[in-house]
Amino acid sequence: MKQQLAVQECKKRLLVVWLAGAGMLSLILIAQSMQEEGPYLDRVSDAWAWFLPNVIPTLSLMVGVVVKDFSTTSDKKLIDTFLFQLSFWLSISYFLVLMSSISLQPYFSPNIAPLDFLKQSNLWLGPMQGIVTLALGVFFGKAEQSGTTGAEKK
Amino acid sequence: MNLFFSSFVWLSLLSFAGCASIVPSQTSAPKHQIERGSLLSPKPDLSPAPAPAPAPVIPVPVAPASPPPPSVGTSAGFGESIGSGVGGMGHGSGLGYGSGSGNGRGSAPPKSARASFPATGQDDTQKSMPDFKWPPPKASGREVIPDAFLRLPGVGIALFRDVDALLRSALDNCGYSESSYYAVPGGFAIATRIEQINKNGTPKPEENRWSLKTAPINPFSDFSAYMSALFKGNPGYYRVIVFIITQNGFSQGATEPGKAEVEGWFAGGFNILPADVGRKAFTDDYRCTALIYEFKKTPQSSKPVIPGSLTGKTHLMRSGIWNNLQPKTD
Repeated sequence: MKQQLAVQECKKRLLVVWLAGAGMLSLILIAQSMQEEGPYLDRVSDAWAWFLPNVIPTLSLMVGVVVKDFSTTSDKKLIDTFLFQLSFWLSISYFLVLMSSISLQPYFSPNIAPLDFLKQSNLWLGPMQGIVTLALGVFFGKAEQSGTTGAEKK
Repeated sequence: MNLFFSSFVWLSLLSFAGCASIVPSQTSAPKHQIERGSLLSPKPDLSPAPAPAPAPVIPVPVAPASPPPPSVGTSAGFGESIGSGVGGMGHGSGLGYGSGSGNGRGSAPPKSARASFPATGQDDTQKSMPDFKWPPPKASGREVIPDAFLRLPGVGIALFRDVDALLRSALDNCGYSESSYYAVPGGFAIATRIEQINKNGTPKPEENRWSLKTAPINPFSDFSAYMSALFKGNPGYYRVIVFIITQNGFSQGATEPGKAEVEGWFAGGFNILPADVGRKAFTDDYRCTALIYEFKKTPQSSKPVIPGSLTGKTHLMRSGIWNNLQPKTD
């Protein structure tokens, strides 16, 4: 028999992961941007232009869904554990790779401009973001369906 | 179907091979000829061009079989200034250089200046010690070495080679085992190899010191440096020290040196001080001045740090040269 979790709880956990990850990365970028001679020099806006598309679309979608669910969804809805675990760990992995793209630059490639390194990281971040978004999309889609299933079970 | 497909593939391959074999033979061969004739080598009809009008310098016969001095191409115009400024004759010091009035933009050909070395019976290699750019490019720091550092007690008039020995010994002790010699008006110059330093002027560890690449920072071995690099960037700092021994006062030039130019000083100079130069007397009129050229390299650019964040003396002290030059008092 499949193990099931409360949809509301799963959505909250995913949102926490995304908010924490995006918040931490934003703080690092803000600190880097405020330095007089920071790693991006006069191309700070390019660094933000790299960061925001990697996080904001998915994050805003999740926030929107969770806020909407607060008013409509009952706490009784259940969803397959595997789907949640998959989305959860993929999200964490994505943020780890995202963070390492910013923070490990001095270690891996000190002779490449940090911004060039960030742009280079799009090579692996792009596909990864696609997979994470796909997993999240499936999770949220199933969560919508599981509402009726959960109610029927009840 | 398979037969049709395979025949299509073979036809495509054959047509492609045909194009590849035909096209270059028709187009590229003449193109190469044109390029060779126009860009890479002078046209044959240009080489026997009429000789220019004789320069107004005293002609001194030069051995016809002697090869051109290796330094003419690298010296940045001092030879030209000699030829145009003082007619290529030395004044006082006997090194065959003028008093430094040229700015490197003279019009007489450098060969005239070369030919005007006093005939000493030595071979041309010794005569043609490369010229250091004069006046020297704008430096990050400067320090006149105290006279007592370069004069051994009890020795009357020292020679250039004695000063060279003292400087070399100090440089060797500080890890500068490679340096280059240049001629300057009235004396000579020693340029150290470009080294990577910390921001405070101390040399990097040996494995990174002579590398032109900025070393990666391991977050597990030096966390504070890693955090600093994360938020403030990880620029590399580089330094070249040039000791100029001359009796003439000099000011620095208006232009800042490029990193490539400074890197080239190591390869462009002599490996030793020529014997004829070494025999010159290091009289009381001579002074040794250290010019510090510091560069800050980011992945985007390399720029000279002018004025430097440290004084010339601090650079010499942090490199250890100052302490090694100081006379021992025991």
